[in-house]
Amino acid sequence: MKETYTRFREGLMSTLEVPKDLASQEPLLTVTGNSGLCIENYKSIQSYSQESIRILTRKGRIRICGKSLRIQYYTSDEMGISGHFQEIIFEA
Amino acid sequence: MIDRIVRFIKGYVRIRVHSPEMERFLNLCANNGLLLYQICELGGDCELEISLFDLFHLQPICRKTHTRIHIILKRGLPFFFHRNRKRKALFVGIILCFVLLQILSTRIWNIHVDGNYSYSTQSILQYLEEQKISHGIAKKDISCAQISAGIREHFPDMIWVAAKISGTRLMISVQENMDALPEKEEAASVPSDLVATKSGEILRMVTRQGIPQAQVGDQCEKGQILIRGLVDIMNDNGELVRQAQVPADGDVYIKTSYPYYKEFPLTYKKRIYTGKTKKDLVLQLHSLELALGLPGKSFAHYDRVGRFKEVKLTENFYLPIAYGNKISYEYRIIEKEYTQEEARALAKDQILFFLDQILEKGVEILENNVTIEVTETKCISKGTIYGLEKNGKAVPLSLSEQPEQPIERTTDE
Repeated sequence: MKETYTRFREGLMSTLEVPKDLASQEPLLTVTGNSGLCIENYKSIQSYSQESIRILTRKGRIRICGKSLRIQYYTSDEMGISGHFQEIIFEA
Repeated sequence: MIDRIVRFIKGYVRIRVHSPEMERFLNLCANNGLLLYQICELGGDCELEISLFDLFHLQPICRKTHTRIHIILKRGLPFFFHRNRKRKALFVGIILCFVLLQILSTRIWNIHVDGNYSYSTQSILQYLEEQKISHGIAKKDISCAQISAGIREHFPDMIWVAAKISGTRLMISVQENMDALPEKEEAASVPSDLVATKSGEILRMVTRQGIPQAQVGDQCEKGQILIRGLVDIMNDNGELVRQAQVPADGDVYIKTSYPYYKEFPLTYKKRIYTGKTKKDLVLQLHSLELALGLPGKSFAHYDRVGRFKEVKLTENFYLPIAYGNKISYEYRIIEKEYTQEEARALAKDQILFFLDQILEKGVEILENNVTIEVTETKCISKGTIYGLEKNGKAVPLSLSEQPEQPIERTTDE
């Protein structure tokens, strides 16, 4: 039943051409080279250190690995991360 | 950049956060609408920046997450004011600055003119000054519509003028009529005679309207009527019917003479520049001139050339202050004598210059009888130049000259 509802919802949003980040609250990542990242549509920070940041979103977790990671700004809507990124992993 | 300025104005602090639940602390801050900047992890603790206002809302979150915070750095205007609260003059100065800024912003400090081609900006500014519109005038005393109308009226070639106030600038845009042809002199419509303005022999004469009173070869005197504006109308029997008044029109050319006499001594003084110069810095305050620097040795004979730069506040707002330098070029005077050839060449140049001046008046040169004579002490050039010159000007017919019109007879008489 839930699967049917999800399919219907996705179909409807696709027909109405509503962007996915708005329709299903999917995380939106804007990466600038390997030193700048802007994330939207997340829930919270799960862990933070200079080497890795794990962010919880509605569709799973995102892990950013690298060196000298720094959160430039942090609000409930948007987060900016700087540093030297090595990996961006989408965890199930 | 703007964000940083706003943060500085509001004031912010850099704090070190020691918490067993660091992530929870950060999430709670974000969920409570507190803005965190430059979060950096340092050996288990965290350093971050937070605005002064948000800092006061941290306490409940700290209590909830057993967090301790330590202020490392204070930045921004509120802290600056607090640090300097005893420096009264500074605050008075800041307030005075804003007050002055407010007062000065109610006045015009720059008058900008664009689109002018044949009329210079200075001439337009001069006109505005005559209308009591100058730099420093209060904005409320200016009527843009009045300025536009005034400029259009004063400069007839301007077909479009727009004036607007932008900040403390008065912008005047004009458009000139570039296609307009120079107005031709309209032929006189008033009945008139053509009267000689100079005496001389008539060499050429063309009458377009009126009765000629002289002919080619005649000697005319100044004030003599050359073409009469009163025309007799005769009937078939040769009887005078009436006299018509017309504006006399025609071209009358007379032969005029220009006596020429010029002499100059053969000895003359020549300036020999020694190459020595002296530069003086000069400051000019209105009509007062101040020489800057140490007074040096002055030359006996010298030419002085000054270069000044006027100080201006805005594009066209000149202050009565100028600065620059004056350079003195030293020279020696030696007595020399012209050779025969040099003297003749110089005399020839002088004659050519005189001829050019005559030609500029519209005179055609017919004859040049000037001779150059070089004596032991001087060079004399004398003679007469004959030219062909247009003569005559329109003089309205006086009322006394107006003829009595014959009374029309009717059949009843």
